[in-house]
Order: sequence, then structure tokens, then C-alpha cells
Amino acid sequence: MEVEWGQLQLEQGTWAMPVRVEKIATIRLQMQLPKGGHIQFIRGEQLKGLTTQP
Amino acid sequence: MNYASSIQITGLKELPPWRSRLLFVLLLLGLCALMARSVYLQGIHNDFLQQKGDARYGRVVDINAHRGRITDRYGEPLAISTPVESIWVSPQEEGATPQQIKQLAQILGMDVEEVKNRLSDTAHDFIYLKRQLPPEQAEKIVKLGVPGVALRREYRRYYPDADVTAHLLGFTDVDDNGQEGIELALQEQLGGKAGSQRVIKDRRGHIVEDVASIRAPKPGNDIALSIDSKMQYLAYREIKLAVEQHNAKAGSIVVLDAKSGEVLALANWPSYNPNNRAKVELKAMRNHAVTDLFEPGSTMKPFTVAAALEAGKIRPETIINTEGGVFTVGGRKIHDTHPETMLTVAQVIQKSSNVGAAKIALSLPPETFWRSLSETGFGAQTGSAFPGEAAGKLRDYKKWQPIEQATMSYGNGISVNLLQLARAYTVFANDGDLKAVTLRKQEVPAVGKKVYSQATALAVRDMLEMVVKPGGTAPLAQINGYRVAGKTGTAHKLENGHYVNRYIASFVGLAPASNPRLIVAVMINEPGGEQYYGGQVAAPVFSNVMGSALRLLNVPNDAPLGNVLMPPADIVKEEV
Repeated sequence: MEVEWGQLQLEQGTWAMPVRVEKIATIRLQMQLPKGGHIQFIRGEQLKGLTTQP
Repeated sequence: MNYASSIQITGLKELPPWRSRLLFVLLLLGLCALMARSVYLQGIHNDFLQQKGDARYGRVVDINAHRGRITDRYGEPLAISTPVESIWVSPQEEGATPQQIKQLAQILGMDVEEVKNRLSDTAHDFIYLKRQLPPEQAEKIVKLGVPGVALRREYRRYYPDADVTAHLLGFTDVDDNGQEGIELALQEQLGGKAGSQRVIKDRRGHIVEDVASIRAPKPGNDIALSIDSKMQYLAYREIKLAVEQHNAKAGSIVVLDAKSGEVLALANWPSYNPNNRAKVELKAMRNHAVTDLFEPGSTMKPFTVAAALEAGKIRPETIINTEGGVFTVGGRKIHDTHPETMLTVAQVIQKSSNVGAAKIALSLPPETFWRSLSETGFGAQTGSAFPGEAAGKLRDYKKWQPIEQATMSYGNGISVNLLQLARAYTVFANDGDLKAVTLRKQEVPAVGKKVYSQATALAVRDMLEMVVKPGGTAPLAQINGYRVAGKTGTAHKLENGHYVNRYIASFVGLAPASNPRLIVAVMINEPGGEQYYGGQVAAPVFSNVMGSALRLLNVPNDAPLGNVLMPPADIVKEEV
């Protein structure tokens, strides 16, 4: 059990290596990181204001 | 009859009675001796004989303990031990047919001749045929049933992130003992204790029966590091890119949590794959960020200014006469690349003026300056407990000449490692508190040591923010949406006691400047291209890593987007 758990974790770690994920994301899935300007932060206080509005 | 007559002739002579009694006593004595002997052997001398017997068929075998896992701060595995089998033979008992030897060699992927040689090496009674085989291969070998060949369970260490975490984690040897990095530093906790078991073996060395477990193997503890594996990858990727782009010799990067002093990422390039170390050069194994010392150059200036502010010698708006860029101390000239006549203290930092820094340093008594640097952690270990950490050099103030005090103000004549430099900047992120750096995940917030007053720390932080603004030395360190405070450094390398025209470009910065969360320190060793200033080479790495890391942590913006302002002209070059 313990042995298999370790091996599975190892396998998962290898599949999920950032290098691999990044390669697949950029080449096969044509994804890219959003540039700074494309990210908007919604602050908690703002959100509260929005949800309480009727 | 004849018989009767013969008896008659000899006559029945009475035997003397003592003879029969003697015989009886002798036999009785013999019996007693035998009984005593048997009692002695069975009862009293038993232990010895039992021991002899055990020595002939009983064996105590070691059971290797499972080495603890190393994970990052979120539990992602960074190093795992998984069981493998080692094949060993006892050549004296071996009796493999040529056919079996061939099969054995085939499974092991070894030369038939070599296998034969090893099997027939009767000088030893224990020889490893091959170590660390995957379990499937080992199973095939057991099926062959070659006499004298047996298995031994061992553990092999795997590093899923390979070269990304190589320098940080280090590696283990074939017996799974730590040899480098964290594996070595935390060997005690990770290692566990091998157990032992008593077994009965036959003449061929096969285990017939497990008799008793003497000591169960105690597995090592799992350890959670302070590392964030995503940030580690990010840092590694960017430093690798920068070193290659600028044709540099090496590069290092450290990311610290500004509040707790935890190391979130620590990477170097060139690196190596710890899972396959067959062809690794020793040079690539060096963890430059911790084990190498360098002269920090201008990244020291904020500490000079802070010391003088703390001593009340200057105020941020005090005007320093920078003498048009040349200043002579003890017969030696200190130069500024961009000569100015008058600069405020804040501008001295912003434009990285050596003359200004030297004058500020000389306004202090040597002891005060030394004490301030020493309290900021220069010249001492960081407490990271990393093996081979270089402490850095801060010479005794009693031996200082004025020129030394002056050059030290801009980071010449003092040496640091990158981790130490990054740690020193925690004082500007924590209102004057110096945090201890740690590679282990911290559950409770670290207590800092007060070095500067809050006012001093904040004043210097404001000055550091001007460095990345137009007119400063590092506009390339700006990040969209965040305020950044930092300092560039460009230092001549010292070789055999002489400064040469090769450089170390560095940048240390904190962000968001309104309430710093992270500190990133970048060092590029010998950029080979046209560009070698810290503001050109190291600052972009800082900007990329810091920007992505802050977004990774969902740190809210503290500046409106589109705040990146590039100066129209060239970057202000600093004195080196």
C-alpha cells in the first residue's frame, strides 16, 4: 500500500511537471499567460457592495 | 562329560569379593559422569551450544528503512523514495548453467562475460550483481531460480522536478543517505533507522524461515519545505532564460516571503538532473546562491544610508555634495558614471552614486557603520542550515582605513552570498525587523530582530521605489499594477586580488512596495554580451518573476494598471 502510494504520487508528479504542462499548454492548446493589463482584481469589499445591491 | 571333568580339574575357586564391588563402583561412577556431562550440556552449558547452532543457520538481516518524503509547502512531492531490488550473489554457492548465465545477462542488460566473471569471483562471499533494479525485472530473475542469487530490498530516490529543484534538494547516494543540499542537511530526520530481523537460512543462503523481528525499521519523517514548487519553477525558468540570453557564466535567484523569511524559491543555472547523475560536471552541482560569495556592489548602498539615517547623521532630503563625480579618499579616487554636483540622499540611491554613498559612510564612526552592517546579518550565517553555506566577510572595523570604509559603502571590500543579501532586505519590508531565513515551512510567524526604527526602514523603502522610476537605474524592474522597491548592483569581479573587467550584475527588490509580500534577489555572473549592468540584465528577471509570483499569490494591485513608465533615454548607468 505504502509503496504503491509513493509510486502513484511519483507518477502524478512526473505527469504534472511544470515544464511538461507549460509545453502542452502553449504548443498543443495554444494558451498563453494573460499580460498584466488583462488581469483585474476584484476586491472583497467591492464584491460585497455588488451582491447587496437589489 | 569333558566339560564337567575340566571344571572339576580347575576347580571352582571363589573370586575375591572386592573385585565385583570395584567393578560396580566404576560403572556407577561412569554413569554419574555421563549424567553430569549431559546435565552440563543440556542445562548449564546450553547457551553456548545454542549460540553455535544459531551461528550455523541463523542470520540477522538488515531491513532498510523507508526514507522520508520531501514536499513543498502545499504537500507536492519533491523527493520520494521508492523500493527497488538489488541482485546479489554468493559465488561460492553459485552453480548456474551457461544457459542461466545468458538469461541473467539478458535481463540485467549486462555483458555475458562480466556476469560470468562476477559469478566466479570466489574471493568474496557477497557480491552485488546489479543494484537498484525495478521490481518487474527483479521478479524475472527470481523466476530463473539460479542458485546462490538472491534479492535485497533497497530504496531509490526520485525527484519529480528534476533539474528545477536540483541544487536545493541535493541528492542521496546509492544507500539512500543524503550527500548534498537539504538531503544532507536534514539527513537525521529524513533517514529513519534500519531495522533488523532474525532468519533461518539454508546452506545456499536462501531464507527458510523468519524467526523474529528484532527491531522494526523506523521510517524517516516526511518534511515540508517552505518552497512553493510553482514559484520555484518560475524562478528557475527565468534565470535560465536570462543566463542564456546574456551569455553569462551562471545565475542565481532567491525568492523570500518578506514577512516570514521563508525561502519560497531558490534556483541556479546551470543545473543538472539529479535522477541521472552519470554525466554531471561538478561545476553544475554548485548551489551558487548559497555557497558562493560575491561582492554585492551597489545593492549595499541602502544599508549605508539606513545606518546613517539611524545614527541621525542625515535625513532623506539632506543634500550631499558629490563633487562632480570624483572624490579622493586616502589617495584613491572614487568615480561616478554620471557626474553630478549636488544630490539628495534619496537621489544618491536612485542614481546609485558612489561618491554620495562614500561620503555618507565617512560621516559615521567606523564602529557604528560596522555594527549596523553586522546587525543586518552581513558576515554571519543566515541560519538556513544549508550545507556549505558561506558566511560572507565583514572585516573588523578596528582595521579599517578610511578608503575601506568608503568602498564598503557601495559594496566593495565586503562579500555576501545571495541568500544573505536577500535576507538583509527583510529589514526594509518589515519596518526595520530582520527575519531569519528558513527552508522549512513555518507554522508560527517568525519573530524578527529590530535593526532599524520604523521611520528609517520606511524612508529607505521610499528611496528604493525611486530606483525603478524614470531617472533611476532600473526602470526595467517595474511591474504592471504593483509598486516596486529595489536596488541594482553591478560589481567588478575580483580575481587574485585585482578587479577585472568582468561583472556580477544583481538586483534585489521587494513588492508590493505599499506592503511588501515578496523579496526577489537575482544575480547574474559574468554577462557576456554588451549589457552587463544590473539594471539591464538582472532587473528584467526580477520583474518577470516578481510579477508572476504576486499574481500566483493573488496579491491585490497597489498601483493602477499601466503604471510602467519607461524613461525616454537610456537607463541611468550606475558606477561599477
